[in-house]
Amino acid sequence: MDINQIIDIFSGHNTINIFFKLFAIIFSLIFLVYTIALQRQVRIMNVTLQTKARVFFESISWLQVILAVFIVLLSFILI
Amino acid sequence: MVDLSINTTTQSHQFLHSYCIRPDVQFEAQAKNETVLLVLRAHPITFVPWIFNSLVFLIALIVLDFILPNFMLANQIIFINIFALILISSYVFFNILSWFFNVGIVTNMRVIDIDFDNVIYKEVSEINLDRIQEITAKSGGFFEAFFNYGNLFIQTAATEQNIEFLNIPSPADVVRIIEDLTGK
Repeated sequence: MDINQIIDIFSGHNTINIFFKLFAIIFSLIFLVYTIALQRQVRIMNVTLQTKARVFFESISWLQVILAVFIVLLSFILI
Repeated sequence: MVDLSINTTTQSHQFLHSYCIRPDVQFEAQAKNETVLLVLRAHPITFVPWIFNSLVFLIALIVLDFILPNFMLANQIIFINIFALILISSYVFFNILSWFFNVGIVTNMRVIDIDFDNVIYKEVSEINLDRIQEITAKSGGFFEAFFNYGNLFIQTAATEQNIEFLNIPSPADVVRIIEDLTGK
């Protein structure tokens, strides 16, 4: 790798793409942590108040975790 | 005319499950011979702010989709759209959770207030029916009068826990029900 290639990486459009990918990965990981915390909290909520809708809320909270994982993978692969 | 009385053995769910009579619900610290008579949640009119916010975010995303192609690559725009839609749906789910699990419960023995502040912080307050000294219903303003919702404050002796139910449907009826149960 010569000096021109190194300069190329940090110039203009490439810099923007690198920063975009970095922020995408960071925010998607933060969102994943949030969804995991929310899933745990939904479980506590369902224990505190037991209703017929417990399956619905558990399902949606797990779906959120799955979507968060999908977003993390997308941030690594797509961008 | 909606029957909001609990002098019935049949279940009833009014105001989009904000006012539930004898619902099929149990709570964590429920005693064996304790029956849930009334479950109260915030009136559905309180949904308006977050539904409005969600629509604004959606519209903003659509507008961005016309602007972003001038600055970003196609795969980046796809990622932003997918992430934004997931975030908006997560925001909606968070608000539904917050509404559904912040409840006031009236049983044949006590009044319980379950609060999940920002979903994370849990607070459960309870008062035995025989400790209730004063019940106040407050309903003011155009929207509260029009949609018949307000706040309920239950007071006990000076040093004991007080309970409040905010933005509940038909607070005057709830006062009547609790007074019937306490025999006042």
